[in-house]
Amino acid sequence: MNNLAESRNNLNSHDDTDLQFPLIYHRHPINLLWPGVVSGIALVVTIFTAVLLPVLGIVPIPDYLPYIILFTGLIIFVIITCFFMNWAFWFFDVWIITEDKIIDDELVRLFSYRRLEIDLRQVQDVRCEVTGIMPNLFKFGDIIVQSAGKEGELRLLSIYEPYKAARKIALAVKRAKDADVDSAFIAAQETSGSDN
Amino acid sequence: MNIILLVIVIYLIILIVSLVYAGMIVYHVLTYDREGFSPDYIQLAQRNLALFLIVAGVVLVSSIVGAIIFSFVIK
Repeated sequence: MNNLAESRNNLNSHDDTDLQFPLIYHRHPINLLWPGVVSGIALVVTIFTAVLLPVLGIVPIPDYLPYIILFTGLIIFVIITCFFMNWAFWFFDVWIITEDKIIDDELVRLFSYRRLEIDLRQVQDVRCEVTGIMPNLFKFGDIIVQSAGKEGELRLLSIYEPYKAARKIALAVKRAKDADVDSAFIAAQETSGSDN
Repeated sequence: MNIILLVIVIYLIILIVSLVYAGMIVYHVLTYDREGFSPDYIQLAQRNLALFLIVAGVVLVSSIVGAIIFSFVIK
């Protein structure tokens, strides 16, 4: 019974002292699994083909051996570059929570960026979605931030431990709104003070 | 001789295109600076970029050097 009461207290606590701005979120590394697997398979196929071509006699050795080495090296270079490109797209797709706004910064294509900023004071709702076997196994999910502004909805995709992250975002929203109320109250007091 | 020339031309075309592509990615990572990014985050990106350059560069250079060495050995 004591443990239940203690856990309820922890759930209801609004201790926001652990918020260190800016909070940076990016997609779970599992998003690199598919490009990694494809790159790995391509690498294996390349090396296998390079070994198989001379063994089967399709390419005469030793005359064409230098060309096999050249092309194998080049194809491996291309595979590594493609994987790094996927990594760069993953790394630069971030969501940044500052003290007063949420920033969605995305590298859409090479030489094509997209940036969206939402004022924390306009956030109405923060919710989580974790659906599927992989998200539940690797603890990642989507966070949906509903805004009163023109932007409408902002989705943070494949965030690690989304419930904790959503909680931090909700605390940041609360802090921003409280700060807004405080500054409005202080301004009203100053106005009434000057009238007197 | 014509086939060898064709193979070399194809190799050079693919090499130039892939070097330009890799160069664009390197340029992006080096110049990427957005409001809200901490310097540590940018440094991590640049460290990974250095790792990519080392691995990819070693692979490419070693294949070229290996091909040259083997062509002399064959002769």
